[in-house]
Amino acid sequence: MIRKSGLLKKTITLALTGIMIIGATGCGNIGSSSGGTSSSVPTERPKESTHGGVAEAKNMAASFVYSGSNFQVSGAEGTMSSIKKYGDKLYMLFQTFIEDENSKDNGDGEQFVNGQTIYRIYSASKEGGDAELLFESDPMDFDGYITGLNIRQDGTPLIVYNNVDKNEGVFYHVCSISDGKLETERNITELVYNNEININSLFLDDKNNLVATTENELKVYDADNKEIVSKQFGDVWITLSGKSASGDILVNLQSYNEAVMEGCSKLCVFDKDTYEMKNEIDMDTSGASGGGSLMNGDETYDFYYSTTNAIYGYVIEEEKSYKLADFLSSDINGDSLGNICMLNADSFIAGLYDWEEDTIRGSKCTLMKYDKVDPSTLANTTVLTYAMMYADNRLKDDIREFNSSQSEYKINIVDYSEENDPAEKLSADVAAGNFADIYQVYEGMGDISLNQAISKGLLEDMAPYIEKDADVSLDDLVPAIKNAIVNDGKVYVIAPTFELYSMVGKKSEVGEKSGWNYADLKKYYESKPDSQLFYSNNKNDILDAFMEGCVNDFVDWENGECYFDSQEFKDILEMANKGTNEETDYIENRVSEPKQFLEGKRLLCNGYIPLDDMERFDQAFKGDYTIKGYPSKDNKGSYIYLSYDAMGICAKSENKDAAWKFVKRYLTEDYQGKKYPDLYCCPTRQDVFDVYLESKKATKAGTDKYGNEIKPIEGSYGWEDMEITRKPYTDEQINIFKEGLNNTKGLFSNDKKVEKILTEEAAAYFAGDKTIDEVVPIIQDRVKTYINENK
Amino acid sequence: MKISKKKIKDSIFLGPSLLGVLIFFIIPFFVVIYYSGIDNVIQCRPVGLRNYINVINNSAFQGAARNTFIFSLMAVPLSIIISLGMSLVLEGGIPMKSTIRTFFLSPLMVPTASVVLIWQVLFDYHGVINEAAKLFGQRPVDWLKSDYSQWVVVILFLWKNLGYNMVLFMSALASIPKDILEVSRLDGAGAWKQFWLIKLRYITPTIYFVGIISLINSFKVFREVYLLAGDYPYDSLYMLQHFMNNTFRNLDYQKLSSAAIIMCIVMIVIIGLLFVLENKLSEDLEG
Repeated sequence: MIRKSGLLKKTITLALTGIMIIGATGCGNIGSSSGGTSSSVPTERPKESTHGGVAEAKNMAASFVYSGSNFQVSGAEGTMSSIKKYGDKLYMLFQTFIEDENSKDNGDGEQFVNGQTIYRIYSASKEGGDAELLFESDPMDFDGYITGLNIRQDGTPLIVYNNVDKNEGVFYHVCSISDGKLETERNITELVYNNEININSLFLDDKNNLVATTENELKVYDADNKEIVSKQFGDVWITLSGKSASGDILVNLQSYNEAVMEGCSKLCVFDKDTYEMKNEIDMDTSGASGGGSLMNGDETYDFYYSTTNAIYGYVIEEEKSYKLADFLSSDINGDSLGNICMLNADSFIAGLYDWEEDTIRGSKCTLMKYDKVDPSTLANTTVLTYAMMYADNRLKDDIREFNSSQSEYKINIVDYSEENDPAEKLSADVAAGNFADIYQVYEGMGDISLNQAISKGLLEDMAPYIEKDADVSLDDLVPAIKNAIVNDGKVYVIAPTFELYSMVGKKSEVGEKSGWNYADLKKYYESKPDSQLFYSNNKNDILDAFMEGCVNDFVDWENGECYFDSQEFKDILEMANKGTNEETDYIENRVSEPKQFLEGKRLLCNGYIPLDDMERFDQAFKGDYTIKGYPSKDNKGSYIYLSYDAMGICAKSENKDAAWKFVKRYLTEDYQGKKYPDLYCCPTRQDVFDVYLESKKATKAGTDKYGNEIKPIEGSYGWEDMEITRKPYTDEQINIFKEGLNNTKGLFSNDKKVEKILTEEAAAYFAGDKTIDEVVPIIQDRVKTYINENK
Repeated sequence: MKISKKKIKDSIFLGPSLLGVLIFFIIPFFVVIYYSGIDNVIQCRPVGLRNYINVINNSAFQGAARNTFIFSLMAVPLSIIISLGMSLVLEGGIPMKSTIRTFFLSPLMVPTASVVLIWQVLFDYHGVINEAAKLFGQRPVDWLKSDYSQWVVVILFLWKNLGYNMVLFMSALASIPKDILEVSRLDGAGAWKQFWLIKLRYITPTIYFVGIISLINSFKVFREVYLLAGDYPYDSLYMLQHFMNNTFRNLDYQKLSSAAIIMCIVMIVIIGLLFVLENKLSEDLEG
């Protein structure tokens, strides 16, 4: 009996051990077990899928590098507008614009250019070489447009061609090419016209049925143009569609869930034979660049898609995207890349377009072939990461410029704006110790304010680097900027540009002298009973407007004190309470902003004040304006606002010297001098700032000392119902801005948590439920807890 | 040295659990101790006891500790006394005993979010209680932003926990030997004497257990307070877990770690004292 029991125990133990081993083997082994057939198992995929944050940007950067070279196709004429691969062959659509002799370019509107487009279709080997001309449209005999290039299952190139008949309208055809001529395979005119909604994409499936997608419908037509499938997707929109490697129909649906205020993205896979939906997968395609960006797959990936930052391969069975090419790591400008054709996972051909060129006559396009670079060859390149909440093209251009200027370091962007919750992801990365080398300090770092970042030791003091550097000096900066960024001799943030953050009012009413206190403003407001203070007269908005610029007047972070029970704050609440509960956006027949100023119905303009706003103020206030500043206890209420190009070096970076090499460029005369004409804000260097101001005043065309072409300001633009006439700035306008600048008292910073508490508690006072004396102690109590916690 | 087969077998079975405890409890515990001794997670410079001194001197921490202590001091004894009283009443054989027991146990089944919603409906400035008060000409009270706020949470705590404690006490009372109670009654002991001299002695371990559980639950009341009043509530509702939660969100791990260790030490002292007290009472019972 005892023996039997022992045997039973051993058997159970062995069985359990077996189950554990099998379970452990199964865990996380999707890759090797997926695929079903050996042909669909990817041979070599990156180890990480998408959205890996800082860790991916740093450790995987070398895996996403592709190197580009000119793709030589001799004999092809014009600008490439479509490219498809079939087997070893490429089919390409080129177009050339032939301008009429009598066409006139008046310089202002190039839309008046007349002419005719010549379409050419070529085939070539996927290795390049000689292009074989398959079709060339005759400008005298071809009145229409070729809008798409497709390859049929049997390898026949097909085009979608719409021709215009002067008497009978527009006809749509799917044509093949025979002996250099187009041959209509099917007339789809009725099909196009019968759909009340525009068809967004057309392609042929493996059975040669025509698949069409509208904004939220998928339709399939047989060879006789008979509708055989119609799928309605309801309140969604189709962003991408195409075929998988196995021939299934793919549709990517986007929708917006209002309840959680979040966008949803799904990939629907329809069976190639039955057209029934066989899979619905959550797939984040944010950033995918339009309908053409879904590309047919191969034996490694079911399909490919591109965004402005990267190319991804997708494996349906794993429900996973794999990043293949990172444009920035590869020194590619993603915005200039178009008509990508994947040859395989390691190689693609694309057109590199120069959008600055004349778009009517055809943009300049260079055919490029990009091949994956062996990561081991990049082992000597140190990757630096630049984490940002908002990556604009100028920053990307700067990084590309830096990366291509040397081979020792490569800056890689970690773009948190691609995350569902950018601020939370950044905080999570910091919490996990995944630090970037450089951080964009755009009003702080996500949810981490600049002060918090400094107090936590997240940012490196750059003062020693500046001191040692012969190229830059703090004395080069505009004094107000220097005062703002230098704190106790330490510099944690630098920026190439700035704006003022202040209040502008009517000089004859608010007084010429910059700065005022709360009592002054209250008195002024009370003297204008028919006027509102700001753009919005909503009570909460007024309180928010005050708090953006005044909150630091009521908080003493150092001593853990706050003064929201003071008379000054009560004055603010009382002024806000004179507003309305109505939301500004919903006010019908709202008086336009310029009219509000002209008619004296609005007293102040608040927020960011770039120099370019002076011309608006000039007209709205009829020249009678001044940068007064937010009310404050010390009569100094203007701030320096650093925008998205403000940055700091992470104290944990292992490559601080390299990071400094990149960061310092923004403080050099060379950078700011060359770039300032393209910047919306003012340069931070005094020498460049002076040149910038001179360029604004220029009355004659010329060249500045940095070689930038200077043109006198002219033209006009609309500000709601007011026409703003642009002209060179006057000394008076410049002086108003300079005076505002001289009266700044530091960097703009606000605290969203304090603002949230104020809004929550003031609501009861604004609703009339509580008196000001009941509300103020609660605000004081709650904010004090917050301040003490962070003391 | 020969290791017996049994030991190897035991180790194999114990291994996974030990590994889990090591990864999820022991290592993080030492990480917390390490964090409490450095200036920040970036530079990691040792600062000795500076973080502890800063936390102890931090008025938000002091306020949170005071509030948590006051709350526990109010809620735990009340919870023990009321649930014990109720179990004694139910033990007396009142009608609908089972229904009443179910009624008091039902709050345990209600999700916290729903409980909070009910409390908001009741105690909001425009809630049921204030509307009722207005009918009698009374001024509305901002229950969650006034000195009454902690009482609101105490009531919520009691409502949620009384049923469970009551069942524990009923079970303890049922396990008292009936012959002792019979003998005491024959000796002329009244209900009060029976309770004080016999029942209380027998249920001391249960009181101790209920006390510990209630103390732990009183620390966990943060969840309800957070849902009711947010991360920065009115002063008297700001608990130790608010401090911890907010410092974590602000990535202030040094403050968080120091506070956690201080709290841990205080908890060890309190539970140790309760142990001593329980031992003393048990000795008394056995002696």
